[in-house]
Amino acid sequence: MIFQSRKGGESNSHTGTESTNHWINQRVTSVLLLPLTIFFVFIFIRAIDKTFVEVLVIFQHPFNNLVALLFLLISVWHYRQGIEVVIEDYIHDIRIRNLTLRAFGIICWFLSIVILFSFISIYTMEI
Amino acid sequence: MIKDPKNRPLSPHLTIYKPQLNSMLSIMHRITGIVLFLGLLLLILWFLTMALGQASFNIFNSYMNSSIGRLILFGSLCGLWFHFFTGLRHLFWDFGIGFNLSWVKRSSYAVIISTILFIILSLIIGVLL
Repeated sequence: MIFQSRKGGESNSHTGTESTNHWINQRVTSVLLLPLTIFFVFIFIRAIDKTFVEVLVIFQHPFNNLVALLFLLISVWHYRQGIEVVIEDYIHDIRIRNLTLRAFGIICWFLSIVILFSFISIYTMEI
Repeated sequence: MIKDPKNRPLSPHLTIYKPQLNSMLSIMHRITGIVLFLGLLLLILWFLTMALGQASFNIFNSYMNSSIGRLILFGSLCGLWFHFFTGLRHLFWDFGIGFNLSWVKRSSYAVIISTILFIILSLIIGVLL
């Protein structure tokens, strides 16, 4: 038996193992985001209308800082995993598909770096 | 049947699919997932401007607290809780739980009710506390 997915006979580098790993990784980020979403929303919603110093105090607290950092980072990668499935479903031209996939990969790495930079700066900032 | 493998009908099949609550929740899960990118970008920018200092934060925070900003945030909140609960249901399905039709119908209503409850709960915590 060959456990290899062939999508419409197109030459696609996807193997069965790769797709299975993608599916499992997407579930891992989903499960991680369940508690993170609850914590983040209830921290964020109390911070949104506060002043700069008050917001800074909230997000310099190690727990709040870590929750927000992990929520945003994992959300970005969860978004990438989700949009990859959407792209593979709806973009049928293999060249445009691969180009879009690569573009989202670059965007997600860029956003991850921005997030890391922001949270380290916030955590170490002196009021 | 279409024999040519290059001309098979491809997803999405929405034009030939009868709209039902379950399929609507499923496609809405995908649509909210895609659109929530906007909310995610706003959050990242909010924290970035915070990291850059008080001046940039005050400018961006005033956009976030303008009526349009609040509308986008409220929309993101609704989309997030909806995506959260439909996603939670998908996770149960992935483990083979709740797959028979009567449970699927019940969980559809549970998703809608939980979403509304959590939106209200978030607003109460945000506004009153």
